[in-house]
Amino acid sequence: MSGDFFQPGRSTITRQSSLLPAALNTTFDPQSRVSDSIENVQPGQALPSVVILTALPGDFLAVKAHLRDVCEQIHPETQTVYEFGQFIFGQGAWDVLLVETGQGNTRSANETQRAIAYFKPDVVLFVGTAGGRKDVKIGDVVAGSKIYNYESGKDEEVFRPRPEAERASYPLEQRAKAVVRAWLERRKTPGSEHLPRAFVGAIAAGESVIASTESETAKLLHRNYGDALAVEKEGYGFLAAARQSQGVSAIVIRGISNLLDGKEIADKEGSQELAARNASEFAFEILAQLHGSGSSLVGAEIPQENIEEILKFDLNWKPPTSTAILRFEQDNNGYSIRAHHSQLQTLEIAADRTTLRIELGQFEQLQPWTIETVGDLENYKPKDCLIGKILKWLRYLQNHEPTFVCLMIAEPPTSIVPWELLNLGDRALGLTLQTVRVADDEDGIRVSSLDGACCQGKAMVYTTDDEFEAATQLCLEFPYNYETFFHADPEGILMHWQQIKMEVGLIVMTDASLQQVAVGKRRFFLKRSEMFKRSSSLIMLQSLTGDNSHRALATELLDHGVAGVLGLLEAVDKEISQQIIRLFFEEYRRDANVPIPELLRRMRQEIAQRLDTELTDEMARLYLATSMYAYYGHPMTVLQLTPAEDTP
Amino acid sequence: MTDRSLFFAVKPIIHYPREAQVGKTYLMTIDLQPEEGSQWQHEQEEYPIYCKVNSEFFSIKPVGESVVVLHRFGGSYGEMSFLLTATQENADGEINITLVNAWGVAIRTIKLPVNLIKIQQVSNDRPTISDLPIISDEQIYTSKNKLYVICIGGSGAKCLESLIHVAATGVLGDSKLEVLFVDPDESNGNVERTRNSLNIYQKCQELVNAGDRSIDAGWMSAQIKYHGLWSPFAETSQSRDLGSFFHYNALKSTDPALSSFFDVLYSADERNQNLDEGFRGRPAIGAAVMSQIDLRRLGEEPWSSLLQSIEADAMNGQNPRVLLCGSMFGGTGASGLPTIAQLINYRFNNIRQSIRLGCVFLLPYFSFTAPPDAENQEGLFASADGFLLKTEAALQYLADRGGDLFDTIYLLGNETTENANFSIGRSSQRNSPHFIELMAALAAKDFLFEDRMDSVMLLSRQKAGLVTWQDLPDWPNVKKLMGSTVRLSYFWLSEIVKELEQAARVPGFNLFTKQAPWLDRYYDRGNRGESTFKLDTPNQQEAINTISLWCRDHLRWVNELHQCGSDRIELFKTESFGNLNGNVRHDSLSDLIVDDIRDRRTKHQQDDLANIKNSLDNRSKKDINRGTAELVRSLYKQLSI
Repeated sequence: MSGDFFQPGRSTITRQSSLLPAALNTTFDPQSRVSDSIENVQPGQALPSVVILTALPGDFLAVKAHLRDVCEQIHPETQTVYEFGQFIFGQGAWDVLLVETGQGNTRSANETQRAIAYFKPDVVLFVGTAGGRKDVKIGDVVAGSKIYNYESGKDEEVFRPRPEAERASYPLEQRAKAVVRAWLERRKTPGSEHLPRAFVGAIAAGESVIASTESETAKLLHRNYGDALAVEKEGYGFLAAARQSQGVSAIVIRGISNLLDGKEIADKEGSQELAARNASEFAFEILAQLHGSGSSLVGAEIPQENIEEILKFDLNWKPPTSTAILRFEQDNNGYSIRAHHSQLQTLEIAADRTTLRIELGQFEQLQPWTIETVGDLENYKPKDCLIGKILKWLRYLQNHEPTFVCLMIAEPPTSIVPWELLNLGDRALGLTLQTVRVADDEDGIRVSSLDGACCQGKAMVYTTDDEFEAATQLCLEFPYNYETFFHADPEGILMHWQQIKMEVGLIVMTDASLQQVAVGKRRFFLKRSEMFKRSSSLIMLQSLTGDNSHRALATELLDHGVAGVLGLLEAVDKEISQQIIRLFFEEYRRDANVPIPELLRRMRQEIAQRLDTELTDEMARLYLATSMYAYYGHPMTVLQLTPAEDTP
Repeated sequence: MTDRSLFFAVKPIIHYPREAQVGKTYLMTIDLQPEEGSQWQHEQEEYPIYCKVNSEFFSIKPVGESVVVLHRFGGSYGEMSFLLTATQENADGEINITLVNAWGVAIRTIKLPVNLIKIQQVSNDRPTISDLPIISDEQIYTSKNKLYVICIGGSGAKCLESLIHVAATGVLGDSKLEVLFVDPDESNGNVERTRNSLNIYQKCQELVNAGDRSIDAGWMSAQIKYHGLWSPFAETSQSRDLGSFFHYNALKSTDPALSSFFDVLYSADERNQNLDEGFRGRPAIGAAVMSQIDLRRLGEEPWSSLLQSIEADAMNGQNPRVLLCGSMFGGTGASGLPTIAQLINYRFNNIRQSIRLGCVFLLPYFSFTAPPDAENQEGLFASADGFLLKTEAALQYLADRGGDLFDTIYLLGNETTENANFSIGRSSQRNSPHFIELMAALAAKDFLFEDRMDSVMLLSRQKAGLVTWQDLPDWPNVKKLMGSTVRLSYFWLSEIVKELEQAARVPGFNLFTKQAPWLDRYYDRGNRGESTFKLDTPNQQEAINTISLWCRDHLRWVNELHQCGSDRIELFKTESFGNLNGNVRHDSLSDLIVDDIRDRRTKHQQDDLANIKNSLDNRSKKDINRGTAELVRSLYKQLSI
């Protein structure tokens, strides 16, 4: 087997052993999500925002380490690459846009102006490292109350300075002073004397790297800018640009990485990283203490939306004991799962994003499926990880609740777990339980009715010229009346549905036509189609061309009155797909009165039994593919097709 | 089957952005509150309702647990929060909220409309007042700068009245203010009321700040020094008419050409009108009088002490800020403001760079109708008809000449004008506070704390005819501080004063403290010999009276602010303290602030009478501070939102 459980862009793990279980078993204990509350902004309002500029990559990374959910943003005109994320602390949060300017006052001024125009922040910070000049040690932090442009002057026989300075915004300077005091207090704690110190004071900025206290520039600073604590190259340009933007507060924060003399030695000892880290710490401590921004530009219009509607619901309503519900959610921080059953305490667990390493997306890389894939899955015995805990909970339920047969699964389209293939005791879950995929919203409400729909009427097959032969083959084995329709364009199907007057129990789509219709147009037709309002229909969606599941389409069809949808979670080879359809109808022929999820379960069981006696890759592929079929709709829906008159 | 009688009715309370900018992150909160009268007929004490929020237009992230737990005592344990980052632009979209019950069943879906706007689009729009970046909370309202306010005319005085009340709430932190009135009408009703408010504030501020202060830069921490009222006629012993002021009769003989020119400029009525009651809405008269003020006059009191103080601050690197405040459409303000600004500029020519000079100009925001016989009875009188024309002329002057005069100019106006009672001046010129004056006070705060240079900012409120908290600059902090102060004033008058009065009446304070033990925390008992902290001593009784006076004055100002005829003001629910002479009850404490976002549980904890008194009875601090000042400080802390 050549593939591993690695999904580009989704998991940070590196490629490991080709053995599936080895990759899966590296999962570790879930971590509880931190319970935060956001108090520095009014509900309905935008978070306060800050642009942080850095000159060097090391400074950039030190700042980025404080952010969550970082993603890239590209300036639409200049193609400047920003990184956007959130700084979330105890009682608040900030939107942070991070940019690396490169060195020098001109560059920093340009990038500052551009970033302010693009992001409209409340605050801009320049965070980075500097050389220490006076009173400071390596690792200390200086927040610039004013920044001198030491290169301003007239160059005659001797250089005659004409001092220029930009000041930090007053509130930020004040807040910086408060942080300095806090750091000072912290150092007083016994054992904390080694902590860095912080200062608010003057900084000198120019284009030179000053590597000696004996250099001409150092002497110039000594003569004319004696109060400058540190020397750097971007602060003046940054503040000058920030000053031109109304209402944006700005300050420069620098960690001391060298003391001019011995710069190279200090750099080698890691002083750059230390200084960058300390400067970032200081910057974020300032942000954490700046409350009450609330500067939403337009969101403030109606900050509170009172829903006039009174919601009435029965708090005591429980689904039948036959059914358990899994609610699986994903956000940028990771996953959370709740497992519910009316007779068992709800299981609620969360895990960060690196702990869940079994998703359908990973199956794609394991194609073509082989016996080895099935073997790996059977050997997969997760214990204390998120998946393992859910399986344990389901096993317990299965052992103690004899009526438990159905598992409803609500999960995000971006992260689908192949539950049917995972082990529940000594058998795969999909062989033991009926599984129903539900959308996030209305499907759950449908469950509150105990009676399922009965999809009754004729069967219809939609096919294209290319698919006709296969469709005919399929229909030949179809024991009930069917009508076959060809369509030149996908919209033709939707228009046809508007015109149909008869009861339709089943619609089989032999290709991905419906997915090819623009979503808005599809909704337009579906809304006007009376068929699904009149008929109770099951739609069977066949092969996929896209890279995602049928979930979104299924949800949409259900929203427009379709009783149930049989779709695929992951792309399956067409030939195998046709075999599965035949198997499905074989099961249906044996017993037409069982709900559709049970038909699917029986079909999986049938293939699994064949696999026990016929250990071939082909059978293994068929077994894996059957588990890719998912049903969306009411768990009790049954199919009652009208038999053809000439059917024996 | 489900028994319908077990259905439980709740109202979702959802805060979310109806409009969102792409790239910005918004805080969304969801809470469920049982409908009034809903009966809890369930076996369990509490039920969780889980919540799933999704939208194709936002990246959504829960903050903490996404669950609201309903409990049998009529509420929830708190809202759930989500962070929404808008990802698509120029779209009308939806946010879907799915509520899931304890058994995992989705019981309801709520769809919320939302409009997403590209960030660059918005930058071209006129921002609203709430767009002003707010970086400070009340803790960093500390400024080494001093604010000098020169109020010119009746409108200027009214702005100062608002500034005094705003400063009292802590919005200016512990700043130092020095103020001076300029008005030829020394008995102007608006000036008189402002002076009265200032007097009450100064006494209360001194009382509250005596001893070891326990409030940092908050309520009552701003210091206001009053330099007095100056009238251009102050030193004039002659008749106070324009003719006398310019020695018109003498001119006729000494310089006939000039006197003829004077005739061209001013009618006989204007020349002879007594100006004791102001310039009667005529900037032309005011400009002539004011132009006669020279540096010599500024060397006299009350100017001299004010200007010396400004000079000393500038020399010491304190960056003093001088704010002139007046109307643009009347007589005194329109004529006096530029004249005085020019004189100050000239006076501080050498140190001008160290001084920031600003002005608040009020555009027409009220009008009145003069009675038909006004002219016969009163001579010249101001007319609202000419307000716009005069404003245009004044703006033109400001555009031509004022650009170099001021560092910052605040122009404040309103779409509609408030109908005021007609008055020619003196004590009868007494108009209710107006929200424009509150904005002027907040402009003064902006001037004190911000360095706005070289650009024009246009700010507007969000909806015509309505003033909400979101329309105030720095509104979250202003709301918090003004809200806390109104709550304190209200509770003091409705509850504390009554108990103090009763305690003073009951013979034997010891007996009373058994029923109100918190009294014991702040006042000494009767048998403790001589003590300045006995409730019935004159100094404590005077302190109680001082605080009550200030609370009444503050609530009066807040209430009158809401009685605006032209606009609906939705800052406070003033019904509870509309009539301060009636029976003020504490019941409405939780319901004083419009859009009070505290949840029900917090309100209960913070506003429950027993809880407040228990917090006052904090015996661990028994030996620190005592007396009425400490009582009111403790109460403010407890009632702060």
